[in-house]
Parts: sequence; C-alpha cells; structure tokens
Amino acid sequence: MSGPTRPRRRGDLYATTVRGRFVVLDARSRTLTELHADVQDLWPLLDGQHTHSELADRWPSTSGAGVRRHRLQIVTAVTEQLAEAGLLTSDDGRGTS
Amino acid sequence: MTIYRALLHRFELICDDRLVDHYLRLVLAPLREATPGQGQVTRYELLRDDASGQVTKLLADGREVTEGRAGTGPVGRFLGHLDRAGAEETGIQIPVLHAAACHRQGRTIVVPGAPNAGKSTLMAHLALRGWTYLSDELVGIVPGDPPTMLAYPRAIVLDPGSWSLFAERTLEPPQTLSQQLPPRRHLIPPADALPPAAASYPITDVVLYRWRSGGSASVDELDAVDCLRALLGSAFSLQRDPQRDLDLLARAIDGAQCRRVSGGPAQEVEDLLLGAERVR
Repeated sequence: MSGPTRPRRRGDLYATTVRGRFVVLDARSRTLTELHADVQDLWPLLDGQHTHSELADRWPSTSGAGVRRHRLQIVTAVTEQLAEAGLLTSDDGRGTS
Repeated sequence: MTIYRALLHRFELICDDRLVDHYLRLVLAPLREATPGQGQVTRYELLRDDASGQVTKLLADGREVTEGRAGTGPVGRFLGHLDRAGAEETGIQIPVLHAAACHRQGRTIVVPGAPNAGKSTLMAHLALRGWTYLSDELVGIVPGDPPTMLAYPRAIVLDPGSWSLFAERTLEPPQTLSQQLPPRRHLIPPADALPPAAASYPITDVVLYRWRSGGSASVDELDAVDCLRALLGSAFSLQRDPQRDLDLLARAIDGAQCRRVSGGPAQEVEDLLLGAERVR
C-alpha cells in the first residue's frame, strides 16, 4: 500500500458543494478541484487519525462493496488519487504531490 | 454634510476647489446615503494649492493618501481609493466580488469581472433602457436564502472606446483635472435606474459576458463548477475568509442560472438576458 498510512487532508483547503457536486478550493492558488460526490463523506474522515482499514469501515460509499478486502482497495485507490492531486499532506505537513 | 457609501464604506468629502468639488458631487451623487446609516465615516479632503491652482493633496482622516494608479493626481487617486476602501472594509463582513450587476423584471444578474469584457458599456446600455443599475465594478454578497446583492451604483466608468456611444450622457471633467484623471469618463445613471434604499436583490443569474464586435449575440449554458470558478476568481475577499466566500458563492449558484453571453448589439444581449429561461 502506498501513500500515507493515516491519510490527512491539507489544512489549507476548503470544501463545499455546489448543486450537489463536491468541490475543494485551494484559496492561495485559487484552484477549484471537483471530486466525486462520494468523496464528500470521506473528506472529514481524512484527519490523519484513521487508517485505511478504519476508513473502509466508516465510509458509507464502501458499504455495498462486498468483502472487506475489496472495500479496502477502493479506499486505497481513492486516497492515492487524492494524494496525486496534491490534496493530502505527508506526515511532515507538506503536500504529497 | 453629505454622507456617501461605497458598499459598507461610509465617507464624506471636503474639497476646497469649487469646480472640482462640483464635478465630484455629480460623480458621487449615486452613492449618497439616502437614509442615515451607522458606523464610522471616513473624511476625505482634497486640498488645493493656491500657487499652482491645482488640487495637490488627498487626505483620508487626516493622513495623506499617496498610493494609486500611476499618472493620476489626487482626484484620480481619490476615486480609485473609494473602490479599494469599499472592497476592503466590506470584505471584513461579507464576500465582495469584482463584478457588474443589474436588475429587471425579477432578475438580478451578476456579471463577474473579466477585464475589458465590456461590462461597464453593457451596464450603461441597460441603465438607459429601464434596468436598475447596481454596479459596474463591485458588489457585496449578503448571506440569505437565496443570497442577495449589496449594490455599489457608482457612476459608470467608460473607456474612450465607448464615449461616442453615450456622447450626450458622459460627464466631461473640468479642464484643470485633465492631468489628474485617467482617460475615462463617467456616465451618471438616470435617477430611475438607481436602486431604492431598502430594495433587496436575490441573485437569479450569473453571466460571464464578453463583448464581441460584429455578428449576433449568443448564449450558452455554463457549468455550475465553472461558474463558481469564475466567481471565486473575482472575489476580492477570498483570502480573508475562504470558507465563507466559497460557501456563500456556491449557495448563490445553487439558485441561479449560469450562462456565458457574447455580444453583439446591446438590444440582442438585453433580449438574451431577459429571455434566458429559454436556454436552460
């Protein structure tokens, strides 16, 4: 598994929904990134306190995803995508992209 | 003493040059506070040097104001300073956008501010065609469901390319100010185009506008996220309180139509703005 073991969203990002679509703002660069609507429920859980396994248990979007291993794969893939988009921090607080 | 208001920035003006004072009172007339407001009032003073016969100094509450657009004197600095002070003081309380805005027949249209898009010229056309003119430069967004607009109906500022379109209506500054002001003229909106003091303007439309010479005006639906990007790009106050601005602008879009309009003759653009329900 790559990426942070306890994923943490960057503290300088701001999230909201517009017409049901979930977006994240980097106010410094004025960049607005649209994420999949399901990530809205995951976003508050990315506080650096939860492992991938815990996220898989708590994220409603994985509840219908069958076996636990499959749910874990989904969470891992999503957090990797968020990390690649520069939306998560590493343990030292820097962006991961 | 007359009190004026640039969004939430309240001010008064003292100018000891009679001609300049007369000119500025005309320019500032749309900003006169109709009913006594509350809060601090900034006192601006434009001081004339008797030897040169020119206004040479701008003070704000006794402190000299020196920053401003290069090549402009104290009077040009004063007018520019009002926009900045309005944006900064208001941005403490509510989001402030660089945008034009107007209202007619239940529609309140916000036009975020791409530079040189022709916003002011469009607002001048609409103000002379029965629309309520709300701003050609700055608007405040007031929380609510839906969010409403705080108007800044300053005199419309026209670049030289638009002067001939409104030749009878633009205000020519006194000769003594020719070196003091950027090459722009003001159009004073008609009294019946100015917003009544207590009026509320729920935001119904966000329009990205771009003037285009020749051809017909056209309209396209604008994706909500792209529309939010445009509003955020125009938000003066974004750095002050990003979450506040993001949430409120998203709420404004939730209840609004978002379109991209290219024009075109002013009459066609106006028809598109009013007939917008046909494009959704």
